[in-house]
Amino acid sequence: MPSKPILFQAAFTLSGIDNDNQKENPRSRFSRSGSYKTGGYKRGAIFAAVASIFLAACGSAASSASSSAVAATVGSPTSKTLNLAFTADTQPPDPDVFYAGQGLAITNSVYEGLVQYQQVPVNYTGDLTFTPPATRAKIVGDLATSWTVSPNGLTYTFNLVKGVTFHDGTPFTSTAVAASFARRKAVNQGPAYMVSDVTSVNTSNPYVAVVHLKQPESAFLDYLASAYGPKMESPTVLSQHAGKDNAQTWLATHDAGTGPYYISSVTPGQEYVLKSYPKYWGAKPYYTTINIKIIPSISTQELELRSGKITMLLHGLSTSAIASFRSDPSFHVYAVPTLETPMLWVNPNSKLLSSSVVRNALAQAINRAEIVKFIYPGRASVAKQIYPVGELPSNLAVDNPTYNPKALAKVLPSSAASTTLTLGYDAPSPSDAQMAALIQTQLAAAGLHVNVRSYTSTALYGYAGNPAGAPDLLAVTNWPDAQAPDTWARIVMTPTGGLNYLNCSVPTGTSYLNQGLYTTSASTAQSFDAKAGAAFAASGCWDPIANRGDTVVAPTWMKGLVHQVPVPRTLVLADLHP
Amino acid sequence: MSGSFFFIKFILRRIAAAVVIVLGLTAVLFFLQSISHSNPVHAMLGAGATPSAIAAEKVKLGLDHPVFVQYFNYLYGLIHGNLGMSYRTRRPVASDLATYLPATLELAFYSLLLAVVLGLLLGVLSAGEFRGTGVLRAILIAGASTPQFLLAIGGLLIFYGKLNLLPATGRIGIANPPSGPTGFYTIDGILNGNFGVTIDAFKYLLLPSFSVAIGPAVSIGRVLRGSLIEAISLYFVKTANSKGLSRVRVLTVHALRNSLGPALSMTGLQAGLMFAGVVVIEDVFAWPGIGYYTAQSIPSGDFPAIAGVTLVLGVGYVIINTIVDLAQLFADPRLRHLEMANVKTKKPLLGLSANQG
Repeated sequence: MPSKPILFQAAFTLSGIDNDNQKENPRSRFSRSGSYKTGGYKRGAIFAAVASIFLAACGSAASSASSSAVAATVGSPTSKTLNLAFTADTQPPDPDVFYAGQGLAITNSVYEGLVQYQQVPVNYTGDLTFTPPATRAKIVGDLATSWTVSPNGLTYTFNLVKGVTFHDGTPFTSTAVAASFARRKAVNQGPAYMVSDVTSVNTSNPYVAVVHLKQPESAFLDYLASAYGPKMESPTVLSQHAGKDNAQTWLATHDAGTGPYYISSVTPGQEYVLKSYPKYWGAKPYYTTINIKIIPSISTQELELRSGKITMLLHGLSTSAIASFRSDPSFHVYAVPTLETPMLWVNPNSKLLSSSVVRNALAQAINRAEIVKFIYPGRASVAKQIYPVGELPSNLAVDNPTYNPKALAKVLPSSAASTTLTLGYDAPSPSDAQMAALIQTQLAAAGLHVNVRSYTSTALYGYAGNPAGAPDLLAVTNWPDAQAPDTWARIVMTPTGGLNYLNCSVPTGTSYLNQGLYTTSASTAQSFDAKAGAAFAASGCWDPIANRGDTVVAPTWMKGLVHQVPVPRTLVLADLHP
Repeated sequence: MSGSFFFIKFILRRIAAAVVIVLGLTAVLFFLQSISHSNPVHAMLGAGATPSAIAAEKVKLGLDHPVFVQYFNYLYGLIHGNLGMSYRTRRPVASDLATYLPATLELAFYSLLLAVVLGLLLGVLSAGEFRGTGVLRAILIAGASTPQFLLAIGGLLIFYGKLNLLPATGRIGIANPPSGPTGFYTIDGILNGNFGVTIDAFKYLLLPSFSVAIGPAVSIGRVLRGSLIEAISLYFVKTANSKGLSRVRVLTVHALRNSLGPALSMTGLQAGLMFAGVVVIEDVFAWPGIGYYTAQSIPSGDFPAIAGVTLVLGVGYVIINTIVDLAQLFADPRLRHLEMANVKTKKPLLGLSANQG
């Protein structure tokens, strides 16, 4: 939009001196005084300046709107309605399609799986301190009360909870397990890999589901426990609304789950409304209605929170906004541990970075602690392993280079002086942009010229498997689907991995990873995963920077914050209460 | 050449121009997509998607064909009202546009209306040197000089955060508003006899439409003021003035109609540019329109959605300019007669020949 030019042009207009009419100013013919109003320019300019400064001041205060004026209106603790906001419309809340971030709040409130990761309470400690998970979360039953695994790892027998009904009234039995696994395979979207080795489900006993695999998979239970894992869907709904797309159209605006909430309405691009399911088999949730509005601007979300129009902010806050809420006595700010991992990808196909010696020296030139301190204060810890924190014991798969910016200069070829590298980041992520900028500064201090530019996620996916034109370095934050190390390394570090953006191939690491996945023993899997991690770390193709968590802001009266560790946006909405 | 025949020919030429624009835009978009490195199917399915799943989805979406085959398939679908499937929302793009477009049209319509009213006020008052004009000019120019997002956030802070007079987000606060027939809540409320909906919709419209309108209003006002000042110096206005008519009457009855041409051109230009501003404003106010839809689609590389929005905007731009040209002809009979005469000699003034959009 026009801004300053208009102001300058307007100044001439206000002065009564029009460039196009300098010979005569006909306005004077209408002047009551009959004289030229030469003072108009000054008055107008002063008005314009004062008004601009006033409006600019209002705007700059957006992220820190006066808390005292609105603190009294923070959402009522007696309301049975929970109002939340997403910054973007989600993929359809169909558990076999959804494979993103924000919508997990819906899919995991509406659907349930056979097992889940043990939920972890999020306690308010007064100071914003990020405590990363020390170990892998325990897998516990959800719609399965117990399970056994055959010695050969090919048969999983789940004993199912009795008395559960889907939201359409259909009883939950082993038939639903078979139907849900079959649909996930048929829909064949991103999360379908989790059931790709399932050959059949025996449903002869309605409360026992026997799942057969074609080969043992050490991560299979993690797949089932994942927030993206197979959820149980009503076979009646799947059959009645199958259409030509396995009920994908229907499940974009409805649901077929057993969870504490059902999808009451979906207004595309505007709002999702969840209602509590009266016949829910577990503990009844406090909130009977959850409204989730799509509000793209986080500044607007902050205003809505302070005005009590939304009850909590689940993510997306800037550092300054977090500081503002921390100083407000009406709110608590929580650091919620997840396995989000800001990381630097290093391109082995880049001429300057083709040697692992250079790549590892480059890792030494990056001050991870400084990045954590400046970009994620109180919300992250320094990464010290190639895998997200807690997936393996801290002494395995270590990736913790000593900060030494001089090491890079020693191994850089002479051509480095005349070479400029490109450092990319994921376009929609402000924190990735900040991370890229800091890395650029640190590498400049170590003697590398780096340009920073943004890439869309589709462009980044385009480079995976097609290295031409890919950036030399890439700063992106991701998280694994589950807590099994395989679910991180396979996607990020193997040749066919969707997040192996810069096409680094480490055959020994991939081989170890495969051996770790297709085994029956957890300890064997851990051993191979550790070896694979060591190989990947030695390659220098990936430099994990931090272990990051979610940041949630809630009124002080909000209790019952509980979540599942591996992925973000998994606060258990059914447990929230005043 | 009769007047009606002239106008029919003119509109047909504009339709032809719209078709050329659609073909051009789609060709450019397909070319850009073909040279880009993006992999929208992988992005759509997610990181864990297996190569076989990606390949299967590509076949399903017709992306396994060469780009020129995809282009002709797209054009074939376009003729049949099929704009493809959005990679992000997984819904037909035509259906998405039908959902999001009315919100943007309603916002743009009232923003333009507000811009025209404010522009007229600014132009007439400043040309007429009425008392208090300086204050109006200062406020409008200060507003126009402030970045749109800042204006929007400032408005939110004052009228929502502090005064709690106006709502912050969305289009309406009433549950289950009427879903038709126009898609404009302000009009559908009246048509359905629910005036509460209309009033509520206006409340939600006020802040975003003002944020969008203030920049165009100043542009329109400035152009109008210049034209009015020109007109005031002409003999027929001097005559009206010397007859003792009031300033208001001289300006609005005698000078204004002759001065509208450039202001109408500017209005058309601003209407086109307004859609760019709407993207930012829809983001701040969570206004569920195509600006928001586009902003979400671009990072996702959602080509069908981006192409659909581009086509709508391209065709919309042609329509707006056609309306503006027609309005100019209706407003100024001299222009109409001159244009008709010039079309006969193939030297049109307003670009009403077939080779111009």
